Amino acid sequence: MKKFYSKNNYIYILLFFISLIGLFTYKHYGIGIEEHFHRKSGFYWLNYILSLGEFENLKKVVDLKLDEIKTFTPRLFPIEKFGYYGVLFDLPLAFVETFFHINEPKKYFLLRHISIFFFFLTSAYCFYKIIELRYKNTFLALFGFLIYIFSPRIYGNIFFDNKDIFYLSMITINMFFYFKYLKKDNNLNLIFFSIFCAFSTSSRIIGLLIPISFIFLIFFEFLSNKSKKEILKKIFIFLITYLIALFVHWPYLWTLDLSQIINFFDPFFSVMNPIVYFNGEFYQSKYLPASYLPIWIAISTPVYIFLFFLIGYFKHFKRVFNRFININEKNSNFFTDMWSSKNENFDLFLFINFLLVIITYFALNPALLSGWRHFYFLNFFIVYYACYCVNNIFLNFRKTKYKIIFIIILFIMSCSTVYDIYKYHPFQSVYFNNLISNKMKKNFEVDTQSLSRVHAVQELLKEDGILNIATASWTPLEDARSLISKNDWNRLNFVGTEFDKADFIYSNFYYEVNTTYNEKYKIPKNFSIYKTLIIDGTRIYSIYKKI
Amino acid sequence: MVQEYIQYIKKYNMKLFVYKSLFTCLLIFILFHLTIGYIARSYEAKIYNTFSKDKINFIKEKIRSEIKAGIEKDQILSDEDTLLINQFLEKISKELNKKK
Repeated sequence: MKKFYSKNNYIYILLFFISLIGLFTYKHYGIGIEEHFHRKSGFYWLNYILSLGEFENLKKVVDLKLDEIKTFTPRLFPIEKFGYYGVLFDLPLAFVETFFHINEPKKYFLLRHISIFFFFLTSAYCFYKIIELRYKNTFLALFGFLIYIFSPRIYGNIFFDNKDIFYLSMITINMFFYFKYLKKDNNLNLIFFSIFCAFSTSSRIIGLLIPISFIFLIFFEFLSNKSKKEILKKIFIFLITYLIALFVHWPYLWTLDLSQIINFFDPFFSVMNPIVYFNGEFYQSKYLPASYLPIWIAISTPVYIFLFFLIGYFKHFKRVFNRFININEKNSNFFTDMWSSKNENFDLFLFINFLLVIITYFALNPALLSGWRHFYFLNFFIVYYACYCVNNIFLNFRKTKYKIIFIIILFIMSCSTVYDIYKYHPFQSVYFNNLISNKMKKNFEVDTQSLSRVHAVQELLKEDGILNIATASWTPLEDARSLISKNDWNRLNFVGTEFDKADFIYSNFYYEVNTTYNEKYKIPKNFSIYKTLIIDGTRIYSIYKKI
Repeated sequence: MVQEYIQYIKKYNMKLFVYKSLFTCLLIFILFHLTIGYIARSYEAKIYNTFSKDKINFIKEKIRSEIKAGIEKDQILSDEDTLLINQFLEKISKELNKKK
């Protein structure tokens, strides 16, 4: 019994409770804006792979599924144009859906939701292991595990976001395998790390920065006059495994011809250019101010996590800088110039990764929209540096009464975050912290993933008869049907933006046009407010009814 | 080739040079983006955001609606303006005729 309550088992108890919370609440969440596209992508590539072999029966089912997708959601982007999205999540799910004959929309979307939740939970466990092995402090690891999951914006997405959360989970697992490789430097661990680097790259092209960072570290080893033969062997195994794994699991690469290989990166940068409402101004997505990402992170991450991250990053930056200026011509026999332990090597690896992300953001000026969800993978770095800072504070307050006081403060702050999650449920993905007033919240886009549409349609279904519903925002409202019982479908008539045909108009105030000059989404005067959902001063959606 | 390069680095002890070069490149990059890059980016953003598609369409629509409103009126110009423009055009016409 004593063994059961050992502090090493706390993580399993926490995992059990969080799994229970997930299982009880995952049905409360709506459907994400990109889920239909990714489901289609899974079937497209499954069809492609099946057509390479003799799987006629399965292929027939997949063809039917693709036809159904085309009829049900005709406005989805063609996969041929955006085929570069990785298939690690979509393809297996498409296979499961086909193999087990899951034909009810609500069932297959909920299956996706629960799958991404458990995949994220696996990555959270990897994060726990990283912190535990790195700092040899179970309490810190548990704290890191909790803030990794319960950062409200992240938590709000783990039940439906199979792109950004999947990538965050993937790089966390990737980092775990790097740490494992560091702890036990053998070919098998190097191969595992290399395979996960390939997975990260296919999930998001920015994942390419992980192998680049690794090559940087190898280069530092090379400069420190380590065994050159060993280094060359390492890099050879890494690159060969990486390229093979990349090619084997990413069917997009199989379709490329020579000219497409030469211009490999072009498709990743051909993006739409919708209007983005940010800080009270309308911008084109390609021409956002450089402050876009930092401001979004600062206002939508719990203040204490953000502060710990800033302090932790600054402290680590100072350490790297000090190590750098102390490099001399003489070489150490044991370690390289830039690190003196495996833990320090890991910190440097993360530092280089994070630095490369910052450089990429400023140099390439990527087109962004929907807040910072494309950069949710930074949650790994934010929480890691927050733990780095907390560990430093623990070390400074070692054997003093302040350590207890600090733990109590941490506990109170964590409780306030958990309360925020409860308060925002199931719209944690629109969370803002206390740095921003309720008035200021109106200056930012909120429900950018159109999560509220299912909630809104369910509200409207309380009315009697046929419902003619229009949309006054950049949202395919009709896709909400996927989580609505099929019995209610015949009562729903979606009329797009033809307001004259509508009895109700839904808006989540997310637009792709400048509404000061474009009146596409202007609510007609013969409509008045029927319902508005406001959580913590954040307006999530409104429904207007014909007078 | 690689062996030659290793020998070269060892012989001339290039390690510090490589580190310093890396650091300098990083500093130049950061400085560039904090100064010229930042200014260029903000001006580029200002220009593109000022002449966005929605704004241009709005102005076009505004001009169209003003012209339509003008056509529907019995008289576009006031009597005073009519007289003034008439006198102005006559003067220009006279000056142009003088040069023939």
